[in-house]
Amino acid sequence: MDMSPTNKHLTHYEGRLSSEVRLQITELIMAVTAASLDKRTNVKRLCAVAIELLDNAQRYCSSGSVLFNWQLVSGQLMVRIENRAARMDALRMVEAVDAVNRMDRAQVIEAFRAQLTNSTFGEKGGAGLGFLDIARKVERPIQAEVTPITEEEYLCRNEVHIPFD
Amino acid sequence: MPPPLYIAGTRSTPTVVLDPAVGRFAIAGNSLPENTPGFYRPVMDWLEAHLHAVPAGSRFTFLLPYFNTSSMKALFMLLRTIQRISGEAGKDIAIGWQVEEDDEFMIEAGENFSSLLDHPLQLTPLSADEVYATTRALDAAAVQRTAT
Repeated sequence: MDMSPTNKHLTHYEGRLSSEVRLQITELIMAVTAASLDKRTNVKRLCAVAIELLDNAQRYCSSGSVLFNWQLVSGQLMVRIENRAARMDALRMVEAVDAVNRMDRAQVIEAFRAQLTNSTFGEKGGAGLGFLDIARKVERPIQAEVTPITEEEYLCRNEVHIPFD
Repeated sequence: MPPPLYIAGTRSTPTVVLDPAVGRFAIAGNSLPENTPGFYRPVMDWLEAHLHAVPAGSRFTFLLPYFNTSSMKALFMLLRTIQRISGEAGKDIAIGWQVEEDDEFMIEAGENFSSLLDHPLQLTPLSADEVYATTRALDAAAVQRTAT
């Protein structure tokens, strides 16, 4: 693996995810990515994926710490996030990711447009667009796992791998 | 004359200026609010209440270097509302989608919105200096108005 400073970047955070922390992580990864890549299109596309995952984690995190990993290595971004969530939210997340992963590209675009234009927000302010947007940008399966911690609380893990120019 | 709406921008929310008295209607800045529907609610309420009284020939401009998907939905709802109400009032209201030149990400977002609306957005590329100057001018106006 090429370990030169311009070819490998890791941003790791583990702790509470407040609005301020979410914003600072967002600003940090945008700065790190802009410093590492030539194309702004890539920067925004890659950061958008992390921002959607952070938004979801903040919206649904039930307690405890969030783990966030952002790693740029030789033409690929790996972003991983773990958070606790209420059982129903966790199961709904896995169901949503499975549904998106089953769609082909045309279906993802159509579902994104339908969701964008339906004028409804979820109870917690989500637009229902996050995973569809990631699928639009990534064109690779989104990994989603949930593990029960208690009867009512689950650990949720999302991971996305994105190649870039 | 309808009352103005000024909302000063923050690191996560855009500046909003809707002021018929000076003919300025703009939203500019990054949009990553924690509570997106809550942030855009006053803007939507203002449009529903006052857009019919905005003079024909007015122009609404949007200059958002970055926004998350919940903001995307809120922005689409605003754009659709502007087109609906201006259409019902029989007024020619233009909508400008300003992007920094070569920002393909935001150009694509504007094109996506255009394809879903009755009338396309007017896409305007700006230099980095123009983006900075435009955003600063709106910020200054909003800060001054919200401080008084």
